[in-house]
Amino acid sequence: MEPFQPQHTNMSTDPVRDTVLSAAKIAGIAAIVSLAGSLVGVAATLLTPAPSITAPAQEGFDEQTMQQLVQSSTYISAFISLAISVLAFYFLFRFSKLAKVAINSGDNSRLGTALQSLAGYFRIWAVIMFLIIVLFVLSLIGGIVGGAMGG
Amino acid sequence: MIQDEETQEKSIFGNNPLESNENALLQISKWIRQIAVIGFAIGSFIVVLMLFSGAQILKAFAAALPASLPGMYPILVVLFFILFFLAALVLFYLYKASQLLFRGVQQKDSVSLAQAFVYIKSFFIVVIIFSALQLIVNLSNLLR
Repeated sequence: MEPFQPQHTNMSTDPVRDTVLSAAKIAGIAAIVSLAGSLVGVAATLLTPAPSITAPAQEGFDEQTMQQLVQSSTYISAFISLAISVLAFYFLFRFSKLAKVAINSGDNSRLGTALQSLAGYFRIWAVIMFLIIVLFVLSLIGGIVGGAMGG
Repeated sequence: MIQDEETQEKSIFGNNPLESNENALLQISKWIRQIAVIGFAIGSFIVVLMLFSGAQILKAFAAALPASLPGMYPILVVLFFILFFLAALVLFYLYKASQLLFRGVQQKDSVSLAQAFVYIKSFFIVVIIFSALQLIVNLSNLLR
């Protein structure tokens, strides 16, 4: 997987066309495989019987309510991950499809739309990763504050 | 006529995607850089967490697994390092792709752009590997 070492004297545009085309082909496969993985994951979450969760009663909720809360949070997270996967699939597959057509037909405006779709795909993941790091920081602050208050 | 076709071909793929698609390429570069930087930050956070309480976390994880075997802990440690270095490799690919895209647009260098897309392709190959693993694990859960 080591990228090729280019010769900087050659300013031919053929390498761009070839590499965008091959990246588009691989992106199409990646989009389909990742959507399939997510769909099967959601199906596994919904169809397999939920294991018995031992959630202790907290803050006035009894044990049964706590179990229902834990189970519903599992379903909610499954649907959120499915929504993210579908959105990511849409942008990545659109990039793949449009880029292949644009390069084969020489349509530059369509190539621009394809690249915008690729930017959209990476934007989704950047936002998700930003949310993850915010949650990390919040949990860290929560842990520190909880520890300081003797919790 | 042939000359006209050649001129048209050059206007479409001559100095492109440097000119007409500059904005889209810069957008891709910006978002890829954000992912790489946040990924490195999360990675550093995980390294610090593992330095302080890595053994406790992995032992708890090994005990919580449905099929818990006696030698599970060292396997989990090795698995963690493999996943960590794979993630670092992906982030490196993304960071290089971002740099090359930016340089390619700024210097109007199509070779840098081509190299950037080779890194993006490598990233997608790793995505396929991870997604296939996820698919296999989810299928085994579904059919169990």
